[in-house]
Amino acid sequence: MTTSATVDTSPRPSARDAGPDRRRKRRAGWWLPYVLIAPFFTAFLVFTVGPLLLALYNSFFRTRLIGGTSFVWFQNYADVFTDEKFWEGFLRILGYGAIFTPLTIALSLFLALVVDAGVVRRSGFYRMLYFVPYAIPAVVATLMWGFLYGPTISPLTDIASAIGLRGFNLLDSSVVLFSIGNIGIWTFTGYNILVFYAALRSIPHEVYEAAVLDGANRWRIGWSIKIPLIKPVLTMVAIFSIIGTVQLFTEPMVLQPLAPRSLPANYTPNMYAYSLTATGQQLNYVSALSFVLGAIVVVLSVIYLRITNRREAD
Amino acid sequence: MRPNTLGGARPSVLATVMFIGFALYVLMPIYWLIVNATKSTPDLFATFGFWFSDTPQLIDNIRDVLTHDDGIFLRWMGNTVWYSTASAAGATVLAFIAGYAFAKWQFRFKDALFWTVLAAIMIPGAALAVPTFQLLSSLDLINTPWAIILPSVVSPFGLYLLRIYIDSSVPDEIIDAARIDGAGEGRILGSVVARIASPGLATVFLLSFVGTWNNYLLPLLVLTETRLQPVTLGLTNWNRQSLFPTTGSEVLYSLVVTGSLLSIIPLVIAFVFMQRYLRSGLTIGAVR
Repeated sequence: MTTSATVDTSPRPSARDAGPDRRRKRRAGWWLPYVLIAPFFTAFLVFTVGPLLLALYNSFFRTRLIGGTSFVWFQNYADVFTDEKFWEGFLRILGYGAIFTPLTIALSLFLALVVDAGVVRRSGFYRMLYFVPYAIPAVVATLMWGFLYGPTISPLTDIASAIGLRGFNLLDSSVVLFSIGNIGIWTFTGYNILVFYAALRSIPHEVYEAAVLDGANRWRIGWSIKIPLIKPVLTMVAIFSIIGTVQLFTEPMVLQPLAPRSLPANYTPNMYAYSLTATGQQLNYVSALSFVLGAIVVVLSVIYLRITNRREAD
Repeated sequence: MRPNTLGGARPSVLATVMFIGFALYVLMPIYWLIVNATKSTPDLFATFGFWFSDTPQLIDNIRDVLTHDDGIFLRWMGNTVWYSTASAAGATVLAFIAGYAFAKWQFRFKDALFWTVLAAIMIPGAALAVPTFQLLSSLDLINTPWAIILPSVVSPFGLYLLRIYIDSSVPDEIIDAARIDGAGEGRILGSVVARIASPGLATVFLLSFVGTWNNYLLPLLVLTETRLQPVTLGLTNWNRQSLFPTTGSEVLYSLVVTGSLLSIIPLVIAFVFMQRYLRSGLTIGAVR
C-alpha cells in the first residue's frame, strides 16, 4: 500500500533521471529502492511526522467545558509565551545547560586526550569501567543517587554530620540542580570519552609528527592539533547534549517524591508538559507547548552551529 | 594497540591518580547499591551505608523481589526485554534496508528525503512524547505493547549511521559479483551486505535497545496498567510507595534497592561484551 504510494510520486522510472549512473544497468527494476525505503518512511510518516501534524492541528483548538471545541488561531501559543510556569522551567534548563554541557564535554575531552596521549597504564580498563553507567537506565541511576542524596539513609549525610556539617541536604532547592547535573556527568562522561577517543584514534600519526619533531609538548599538540581535527565530533556531541538538556525529565521526575518542595511540577518544561497531560485537561495547550519546546531546540542547535562555524571563519 | 603518543610516553602519576579517582566516583553508587542490596529495610536506616550490616540477607532480599506481588518484578523485566528487543530489531531492519538503498542506489528525491531524516534527528524525542501519546490514543493503542514498540522502530540516527557504514565498508564490486553469480537482491542484502555491515548493525541495535530500555516518559504516558509496565516504571512505583506508605502497606525500601541491582545486571553484562561493536560503529558515525 505504501509502496505504491511512494512510486506514485515518480511517474517516470527514476533511473532515467539519475544521469550516467552505471547502477541503472543493474538487473533489478528502478522501483527497488522505493521498496527498500518504504518501510522506514511509512513508520517515519506515522510515528514522527504524524504526531507533529496532529500536535500542530490540535494546538489551534481549545476545548472548554461549556461550548465544546473551537478554533482559536494562535491563542494557545500566545498563552505559552506568557506562561510564567513554562518560562521558569525553561530558564532553569538554560542555566543547567550553560553549566553542565560545557563541563561534561570538557571533562570527557580532557580524559580522552589523556588516554590518547598514552600516559595512563591499562587505560582500556578505565574506559570500560567509565562506560558502565551508560548501561544503567536513567531511572535506576537516579534511584541510586537519590538514596545517596536523600537525608534519611544516605551515608554521605552520616559523614557530613560526623564532621559537623548540620543541615546537609543535597536535595535542597539551592543545590538540587547540581545534584541532577552530577547524575548527568556520571552517566555520560564515559560514553563521551568513548566517542572522543575513537575520533582521536582516527587522526593519522603523520599529522602531528612534524609538531613532535619541533618539540611541541603534549598539551600544545592536544590543544592546537588534535582538538581542531575532531571538531565535527565535538559539534555532534554538543548538539546531542543541547537536545538532551532541553528534554530533561527523568532525573527530576524520579527525584521528585524525595524532595517535592525542591522539585515542583514545572521544574523543567517537560515535567510541566507531563503534569498537564497527566491531569488530562489541556491537551491542546500541551500541543502548543511541545511545539514551542521543539522549535527552541532546533533554534538553539542552529545558533550553536552558526557560532562554531563563524569562529572557524575567523 | 599503540597509543597516539610522543615517542615513549611515560606513565604519569598525576594522570593515574586522577583516573583512579574518577573510577571511584563512577563505582560509588554501584558499590552502595551492592552493599545495601544485602540489608533488611531496618538495617538500611540503622547501619552505615558504605559498609555491610552484621546480618547480610541478599538471598532473602532477592527472593522478596522475585515473589512480591505474585512475581510482578519478573514480569516487568520480561516486558522491558521484550519491548527493547522488538524495538531494536525493528529499528535495525528498517534502517538497514533503507540505509542500503541510500548508500547503493539512485532514486528520485534521494537528497531531499535524506535531509528530512537528518532534520528529524534534531527533534527532541521527549517533545514528541505528548503528541505521540495523543496519536496513540486516537489509534486506540494505549495500554498495549505496540504503544512502546511502534514509535521506537523509527531511528533516523540509525538510518544515517548505516548509510555511511554501508557506503564506506561494502564495495560495489562485491555486490556486482554476487549479482553475476545469480544472487537476487534479497539474498545480496541478507547475506553479503548484512555480513559486512554487521558491526554497524550491532551498533544500531544496541543504541535502539538502550533507547527503549531507558525511555521513561513515553511508557509513563501510554502504559498505565501495572502488568504491562517496564521495570523502570515498576521500580519507581515501588519507590513512591515506600516514600509515601499508605496505611497497611508494606515498606518497600529494600525491594527498591535490590530490584534496582537485579534490573541493571543483564544490561551491564551485555554492554561489557558488546562494547567492541559499539566502538567500531560509533567511530564511523563520529568521524564521517
